[in-house]
Amino acid sequence: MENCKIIDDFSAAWPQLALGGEHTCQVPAADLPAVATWWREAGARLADAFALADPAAPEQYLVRYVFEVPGTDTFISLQASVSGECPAYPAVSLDLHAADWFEREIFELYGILPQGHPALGGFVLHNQGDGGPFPLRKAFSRSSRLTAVSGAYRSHPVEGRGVFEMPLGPVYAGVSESIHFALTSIGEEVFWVTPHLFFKHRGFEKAGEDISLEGVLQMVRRLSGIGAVSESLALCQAVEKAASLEVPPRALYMRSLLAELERLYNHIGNIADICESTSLAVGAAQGFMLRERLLRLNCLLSGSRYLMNTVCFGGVLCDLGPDRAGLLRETLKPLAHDFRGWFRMLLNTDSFLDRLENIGVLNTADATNLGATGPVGRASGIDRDWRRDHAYAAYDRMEFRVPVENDGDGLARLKVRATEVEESFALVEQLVSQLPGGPVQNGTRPELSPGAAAMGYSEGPRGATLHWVCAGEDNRLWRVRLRPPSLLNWHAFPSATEGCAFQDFPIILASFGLSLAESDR
Amino acid sequence: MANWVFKGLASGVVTTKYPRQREDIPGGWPGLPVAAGLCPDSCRACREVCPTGAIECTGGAVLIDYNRCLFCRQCVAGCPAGILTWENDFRTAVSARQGQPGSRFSRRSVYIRHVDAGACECCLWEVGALSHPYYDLHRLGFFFVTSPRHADILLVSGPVTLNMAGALEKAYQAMPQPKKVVAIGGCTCGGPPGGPVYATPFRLEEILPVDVFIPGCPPPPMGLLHGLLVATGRAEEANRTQAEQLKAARS
Repeated sequence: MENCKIIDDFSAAWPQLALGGEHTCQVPAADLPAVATWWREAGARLADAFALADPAAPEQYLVRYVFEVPGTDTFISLQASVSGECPAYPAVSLDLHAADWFEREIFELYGILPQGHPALGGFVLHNQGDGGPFPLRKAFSRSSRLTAVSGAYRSHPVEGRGVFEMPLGPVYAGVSESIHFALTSIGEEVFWVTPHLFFKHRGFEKAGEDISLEGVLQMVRRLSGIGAVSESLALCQAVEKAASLEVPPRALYMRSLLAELERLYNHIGNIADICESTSLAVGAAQGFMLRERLLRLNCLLSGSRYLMNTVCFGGVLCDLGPDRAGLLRETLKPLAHDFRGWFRMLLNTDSFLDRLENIGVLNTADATNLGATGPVGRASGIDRDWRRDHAYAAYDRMEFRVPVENDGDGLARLKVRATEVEESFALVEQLVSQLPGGPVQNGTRPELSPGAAAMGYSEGPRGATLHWVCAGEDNRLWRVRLRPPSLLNWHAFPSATEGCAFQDFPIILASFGLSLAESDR
Repeated sequence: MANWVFKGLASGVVTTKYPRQREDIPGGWPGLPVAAGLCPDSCRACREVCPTGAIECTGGAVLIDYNRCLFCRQCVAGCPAGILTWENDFRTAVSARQGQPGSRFSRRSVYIRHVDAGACECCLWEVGALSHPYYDLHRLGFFFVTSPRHADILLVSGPVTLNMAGALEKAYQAMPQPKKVVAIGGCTCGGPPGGPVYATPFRLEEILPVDVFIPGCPPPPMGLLHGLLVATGRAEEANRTQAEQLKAARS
């Protein structure tokens, strides 16, 4: 990594800045936008941006911008220190659109002002004024409460002649997650959709700061229950790295196996959701039957239909004996056959394909600018998959293909998911046949020294997850930053709905396959 | 389109026969921990290993608060005397008001509105699965509706977030009488997984009168079916409720 060209270029361009441990670079707050722009122009992609109270001086704050560097296995973190009664720094999002939502979070949760950001407030905390209190500051204790400020809820309506805004949510449709959409239209055409998120904000990042590590793990498993493996895997990897805890080889294989089982039921469930959104009732029912068979298999293998209590610090909680391996193979073989038959029928149903082709197009430029991840990004030509690019668990020893489509429409997202299902079936077979012997747990509890920090990541069914932990006193966490994949994809979602017809909106929503539980946290 | 009709017919009937007939579905539900008898000594191993403090030990009796249980099996694995065992059952639903005769709620169909008040999505998938072929709650006269104005039962999942509390109350107010509230999932029945913070300051019971709790993380579709039947007075709750003893042990 040290002889990597891009790092040398950076040192040449910014000789006064030095890369420290974990590729963290201390940047003066005033230079942050310029340095961030340099990295963007070098091809790096913003993966996360967040703030934390400085562990050395809690009244000062650090803002961290994390970049994923192309062609390497590395993340670069830019860190700037801000302080004062009203801490502020120049906003990065004016030049780097992907930072937009992260900066709104930083403003509301920490009261740090990204100067020049055009739309602050009314994002995470509804019905709150701009003057605080700021819940993620250390002075705001666990028992402190917010009080509603009447009239503080802001929407940013689109105005003009003939413009009509159709409100949708937060209680809408059949069984759906809570979100509010403002669909702005002229006539039949929807020209912009504003999603109002965070109705389900549960304050996980605050709650994680004063409970035991095991408590944080239980909580992160429920960040998005249908992504329990990938979310808890990212957290476990971060804590293991910070505590230098070894994971036995068999556990690494088991982790990959569980992650693939999670991808299977999520992707098949999502394709069934797309069928349902296009009113293909029998097709949806067939897909949901496949999903239920997978959930039952999960329950027999791990004791939880959603693989909830599986990944733990230093290994996994469930092992795959010969009988369970047999059950896994016996179940997946006919299931893979049925999946192929079902998907072939879908591709032969013209009325179904007509509703997906050229619908909800997210072009490559928008997807890159907004940092779209996972199947949504890959359907828009972004060839990134952290299983391959930042290999973790047992993925460096596995062979698999990463499907990429360039159309960026609903059909491309469907195809990417279907190909990934095929790859997952093959990966499960590889993992089971190569499963090494030995224990599945390290057996020791992670011990974190104060100040130890590390990053953990995984590629879940909805995209790349990035968690960052910084240890405090008593083996607790000073800061736990949870950046789930859906947060990035929700940011990209409105671009895809531009100019769609009303009746296509649910189809676009289903084809994105987003989770609010994880983005709202 | 005709090929889809044939495909559907070829799949046959996969729907469970419950409640007419109870059958064992491997993997259909995770099961739950139960205490088989009294603890001979004061070991407290299960109490210490429980991540949510759902277990109380008093005078040899092991009392489990299913509302808080995460169904992680650590207590059963850590029980040295084998008193705690894992039972293959899905019936976790309990009425909030003990000792009320289970009068039938409605002689006709019952309409349900589900409100997500901050759930992790597993509960939603399990509620969604009720409409899918394996469980098919329509055959029992239950239907999901889009407007709370048409609903008889309000199904709530999630720890009730600050941002959703207003919408939840409005949905309840919009429902016609008579109405029932059913709380589903561990965070709705027992509190949020990381404990209460600024974003989850209250409990569902403080906002709405809850009639039935369906614990589970998530409650499996069969458990939800049983809970809905309990709520409408069409099924008995499983006889393992220890609410009174739990209250006494905690006070």
